[in-house]
Amino acid sequence: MNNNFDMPAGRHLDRSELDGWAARHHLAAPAVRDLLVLSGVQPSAFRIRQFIVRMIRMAGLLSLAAGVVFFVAANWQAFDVSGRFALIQLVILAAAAVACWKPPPQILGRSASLLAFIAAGALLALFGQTYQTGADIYELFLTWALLTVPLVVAAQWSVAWGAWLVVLNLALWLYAGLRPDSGWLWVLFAGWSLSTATLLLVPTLVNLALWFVGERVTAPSVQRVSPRWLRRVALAFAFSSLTWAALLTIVGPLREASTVTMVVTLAVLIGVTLYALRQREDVFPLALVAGSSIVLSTALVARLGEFEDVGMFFVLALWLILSSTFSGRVLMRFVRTWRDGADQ
Amino acid sequence: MNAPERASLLQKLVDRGVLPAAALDSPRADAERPWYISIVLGAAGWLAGLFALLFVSILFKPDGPAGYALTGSVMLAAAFGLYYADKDSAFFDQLALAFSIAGQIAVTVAVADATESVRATAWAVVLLQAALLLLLPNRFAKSLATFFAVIALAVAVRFTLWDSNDPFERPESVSLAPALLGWFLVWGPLIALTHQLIAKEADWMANDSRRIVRPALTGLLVSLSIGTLASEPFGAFAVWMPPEAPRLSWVAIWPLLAVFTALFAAVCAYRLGHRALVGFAIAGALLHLVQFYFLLGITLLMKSCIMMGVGITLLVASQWLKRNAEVPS
Repeated sequence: MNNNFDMPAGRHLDRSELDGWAARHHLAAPAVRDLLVLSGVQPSAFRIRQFIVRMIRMAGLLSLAAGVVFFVAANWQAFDVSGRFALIQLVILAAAAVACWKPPPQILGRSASLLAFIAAGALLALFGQTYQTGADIYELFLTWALLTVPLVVAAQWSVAWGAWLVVLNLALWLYAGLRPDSGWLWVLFAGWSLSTATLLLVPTLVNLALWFVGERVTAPSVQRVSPRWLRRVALAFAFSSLTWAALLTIVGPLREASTVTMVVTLAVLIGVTLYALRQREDVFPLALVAGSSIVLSTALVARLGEFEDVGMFFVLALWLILSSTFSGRVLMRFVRTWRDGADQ
Repeated sequence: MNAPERASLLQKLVDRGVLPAAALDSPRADAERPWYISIVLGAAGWLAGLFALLFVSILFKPDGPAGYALTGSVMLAAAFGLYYADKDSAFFDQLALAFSIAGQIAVTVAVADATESVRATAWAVVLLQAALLLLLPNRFAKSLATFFAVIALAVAVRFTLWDSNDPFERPESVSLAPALLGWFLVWGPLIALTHQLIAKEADWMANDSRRIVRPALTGLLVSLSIGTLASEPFGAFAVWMPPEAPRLSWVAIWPLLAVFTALFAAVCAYRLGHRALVGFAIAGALLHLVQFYFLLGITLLMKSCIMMGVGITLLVASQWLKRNAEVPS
């Protein structure tokens, strides 16, 4: 699967525009058929088949990987511990052998690298389950993410980076959210007595840094593996963590109140807005800023507003409608203004 | 597509006689709202609808099914009025969405209160959402109505086939054949309908039904992507259930079938050139895989064997298809 799903040539043309032409000029069905063909919005049967093949191959690969993970989780007593380890290690070895035989960026090499990445997670889980290492669940994901960086780099594939990003964020959220008193991150942050709201800035800043690297580093090796969808995923993770952190500061208990969190929140909201306005390419970061601002301002209204229940619900409903209307108008203005540039 | 590309395409269409010469001077249609802006506005509208319903409930204290039915009807009528009052007003759109959501919830509460039956309520929601799909003038609202109609249909069929009235109850024992039948009863016709709608795109684009079919198609693709999970959110991650051995229930295989439905949705979205929906469908397939892991009914070992079998079959199938796909037809 390549970065842009190999979409039809006319993908930049809205179907609503074609609907509008069909309606305005009262086109009959044969004319609409010509319209669809000539505008290039419909992929050929050959391209559809290619897409289906890629989908089925990917699904097959993930099914195999899931089968291995399910097998480890099933903890089948008839299969002894060494057998289980041998099975997963064999999967990793076989995947590595295939990746060496048909190295990335060939699709087989990429797929094998992704399979090895998933199997490495299963191996770590089995290790923890078998030897009762006492490691916290976040440590499993963090170790998985850190140890498999070379695999993901070798895969040269945005899909593998996407999977890695999910594992990394799970690790960071589990640590920041559950605050276990053990593990590497605890050693790193324990002395500072940080609140959850402050700890959540870690995933925020890590994801922001990854997004920024994808945006700004122009080296072909980086650009190849950081398509727009992956940068958007990283930014969405960053904003989810940021909004969660700021929300805790606004409506959470007093111990969660964090000036640092609010300062960082404002800085990120302003910084990302200025960056997107300067680039004039993608409205998505502005939509995240708008969504986050709506959530946080609504929480602020609920926190500061001195209304009875009935008044509060009315004010909150009205505020949500007003703020989302305003955001929608502004965002659509940018969509219209920038559409002559890149595809939104 | 930028302005010069659009002008060039228009010229080509006029030259080929598809469009009249007057089309060259036609103003550009307003930009389609990107999916991420729809999510921001939709989520805000939903939350506003909930607060609006709470406000109305506290203020007017609707009593029993009749009270909620009246409240819901008034709010839905207000939503219709706002949608039709000014179709270009973003404020009216958001206000109407909030009223519409509040009205739908109130009517659903009224039916649930009156019938005390999950099955009857789900069928009523199917009818309500079908009516909204046909009557609401807003595209986003039509897509939402389609999605909720499909989810309600899935719930309705499930509770009709297996006569339980508690959505939190541990799944009863279901053998493989009825489980497969139940799943195909809901999703089979929807898959066929989606396929037909895409195959006949030119036909419905040529008449007024495009106003309904286009947003309905979006709603259908979203439903096919996450429908099985969305129609059984409580059963999927039943962590509160006592840790006794689960009864054998092949309903647990539904999420695996839903993975394929989601991949079908991805192919459909590709045919429509809708990149965001392709990504959404792939994410839906992965979510259903997670649901398959957690859903009780069959053992993890059985699931593991199924997944490995499916994986090998799919890889072989992809190789076979690839050989056939190598020569463009």
